[in-house]
Amino acid sequence: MGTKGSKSFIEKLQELDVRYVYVLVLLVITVPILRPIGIPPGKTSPETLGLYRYIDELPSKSVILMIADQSPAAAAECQPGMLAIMYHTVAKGLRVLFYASRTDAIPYIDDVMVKVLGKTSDHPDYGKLYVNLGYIPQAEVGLTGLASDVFFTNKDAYGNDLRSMEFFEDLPKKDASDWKLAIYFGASSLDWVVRQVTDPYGCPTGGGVAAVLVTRIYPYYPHSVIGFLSGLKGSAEYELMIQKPAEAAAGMDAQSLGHLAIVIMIVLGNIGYLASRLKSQGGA
Amino acid sequence: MSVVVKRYIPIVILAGLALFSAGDTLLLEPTYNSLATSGRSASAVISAFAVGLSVMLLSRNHARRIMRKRTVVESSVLLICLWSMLVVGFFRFVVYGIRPSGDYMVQRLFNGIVAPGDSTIYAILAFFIASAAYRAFRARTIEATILLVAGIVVMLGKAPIGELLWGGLPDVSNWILNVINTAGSRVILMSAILAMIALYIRIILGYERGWMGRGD
Repeated sequence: MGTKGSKSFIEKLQELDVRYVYVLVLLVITVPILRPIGIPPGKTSPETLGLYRYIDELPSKSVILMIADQSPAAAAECQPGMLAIMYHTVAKGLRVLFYASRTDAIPYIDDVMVKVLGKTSDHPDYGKLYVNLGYIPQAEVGLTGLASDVFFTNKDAYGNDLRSMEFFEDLPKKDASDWKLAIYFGASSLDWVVRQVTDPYGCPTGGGVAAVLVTRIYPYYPHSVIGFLSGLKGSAEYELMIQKPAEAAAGMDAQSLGHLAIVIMIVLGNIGYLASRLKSQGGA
Repeated sequence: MSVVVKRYIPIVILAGLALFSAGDTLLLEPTYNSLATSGRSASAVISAFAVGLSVMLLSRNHARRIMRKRTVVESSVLLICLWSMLVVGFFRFVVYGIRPSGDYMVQRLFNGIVAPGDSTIYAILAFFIASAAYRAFRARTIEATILLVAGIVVMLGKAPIGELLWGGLPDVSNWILNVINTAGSRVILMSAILAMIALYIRIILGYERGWMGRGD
């Protein structure tokens, strides 16, 4: 039993210096990134599968809207998913309309185009299969405008006139009812996409979202939101489904060990708490 | 300024625009819908001007602080950076026709400064979450214990190691998210929407006047 001078192990555990926790987190995240340990990815979640199957079954030339709403903070989780979906759409010959709903998401559209297509506006299929509308201010109001009229911005991100592009020529209504899917990438909210695109025009929503947003999507899943990539794990699952394992798949070891470390710390903290409570009850 | 100009005219304008926008959702009339689309374009343009206005206000406030001889070295540096970006970006657009989107210089600045800075701030959260989980996440009550167990199951279920520990963990995690979380989230969502509708009605009717700013 610990006395005033000497503390028991449980008491020491309760008062553990926070810096040890920081060091532990640093190690469990950095070591697997530097030296992957190859934890099996496990089975694909139904949310990822739903999105993959929907895109896979779309006829070629179907129009997909990709909404970039990821800040650099959320990009670590969302960007690999956006890349993987873009690879898939290119392989399927789908048309992709990009737009950014926040200013710091603009470079991520260019990043996806450069990594997947090799070029942006100078790609031969730009204006035919791919169009980048750039930044549209006022997230929900901007999307409402775009959904009601695809020429809402008149020009694309590079100053080209939208009305002269082959991309839009055969679209019957020139509004969101021509789209087959609207995919939101980000961490703030997906509700407004459902409100402005799915409910009025019947275009389903998909998502490539940061894990913090996932709980808010389930009320819409699977009717309005047909599927989504849940954080880095969802992105990794999509990468593996299209057989292009990249950044997200590489981060799975770090995420696994990071989650495990936090769980172990919660358990240890509670063991210490329960032991000290039992001790105080016994002493009373 | 009279009460009519100060209070009633803004409320009438706001109520008119709000009802006009609501009508766009309910009516399928091409001219009406086209006018509403133009209204939304105007709104986007106004918001762009608001950004310019905020830059001017920020600069004015900063100039005032300098005149009052307050030590503002860090914020001065940030403001100079902001203006440099604006001036250089504007110059490149006017002289060379280079738009910020896809501009090599903007991309380099973004990838070199903004992205690492923002990512770092967010990544630091992992340390705080781990520390807080260890020190504060305690099974003090039945409710806290349920939350704790659900949290652990979802955390492990959302990482490949969960399946490695026990094959059924992802399914339990999905059940918690799909059933329990969905039920709770829907209640919160519907309550929030009802509250929002009530708030908008109060604003339109002029009971809520906080948006007019001070003075009333």
